[in-house]
Amino acid sequence: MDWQTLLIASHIIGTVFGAGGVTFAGIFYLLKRPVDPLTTLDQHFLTTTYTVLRIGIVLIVLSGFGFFILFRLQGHSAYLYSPMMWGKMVITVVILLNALLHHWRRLPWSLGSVISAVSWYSALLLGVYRRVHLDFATIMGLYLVAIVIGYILMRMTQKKNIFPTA
Amino acid sequence: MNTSTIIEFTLHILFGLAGMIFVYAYLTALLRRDPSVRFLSAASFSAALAFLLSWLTGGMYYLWYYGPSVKGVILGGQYTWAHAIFTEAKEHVFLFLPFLAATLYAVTALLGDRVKESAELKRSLIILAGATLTIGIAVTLSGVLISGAVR
Repeated sequence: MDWQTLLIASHIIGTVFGAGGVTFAGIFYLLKRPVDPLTTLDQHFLTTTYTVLRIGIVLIVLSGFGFFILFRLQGHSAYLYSPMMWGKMVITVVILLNALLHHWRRLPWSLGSVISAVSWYSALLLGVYRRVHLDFATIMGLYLVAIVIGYILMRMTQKKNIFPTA
Repeated sequence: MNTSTIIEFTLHILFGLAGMIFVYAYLTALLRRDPSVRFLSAASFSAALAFLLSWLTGGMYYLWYYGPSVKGVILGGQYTWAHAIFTEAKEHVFLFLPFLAATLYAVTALLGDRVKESAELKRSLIILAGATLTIGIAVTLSGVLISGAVR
């Protein structure tokens, strides 16, 4: 297996872990009513989910910088100024800072969950549509709009109790 | 690039990245209600060591390859600001990182459980680790900008 294949595989696995983990955390948050205390099983579930998420982010960061080294050594420096790549890097920094604020309890849980979910799926979409030409400001604008829409949808879902607990 | 330059360049990035991961782990652990002083000491010591090694390998790369071969290419291209602003800032600001991480380690190792007990001390360490992380992110992104200008 050459370096490029290894990096692509690691990047995809990291994305799967991250986007998958954040999806399960989001579903859990939607199903769980705030008044209900966390059971031992809930805590195990959340610990496992966040561990998978952390493994995902570490894989994404390491393989992302692996690509950086590879592009630089292969002379493909122009790609390092790609707005899609910078969009993914900024979103990755947002994911990391959001996790810190969540730990520090400086961000409402609902907003943090939306930022996390929208960020992971935005990074995924930027990777899938890497050949689409969008400038950096448009990417960031769409990302912010997605966070606002995601937050509104989450509040509506919670109010209407679309996913009642069993 | 010859083999030794490739190794220096790669190690500079990997050690820097490792330092960032250790500082992030330190900050995450410190934000917990009951942080493990042993983990905090290990993370901050590893961060200081990784930043120091990144510093050394980065210095070797700068002296033996960037200065003679890359700087001229950037200054002769259309992204001169990549060197004039980002390399110039990075090579000075980067010097802080090993010392900031070493300070985190020294305070954590010397004061032990007081890090957990004193809210004021804990808050100060959170600010210091946050500043280290912020500088580290800025230096990392600067590195990507500088590398992208080499064409």
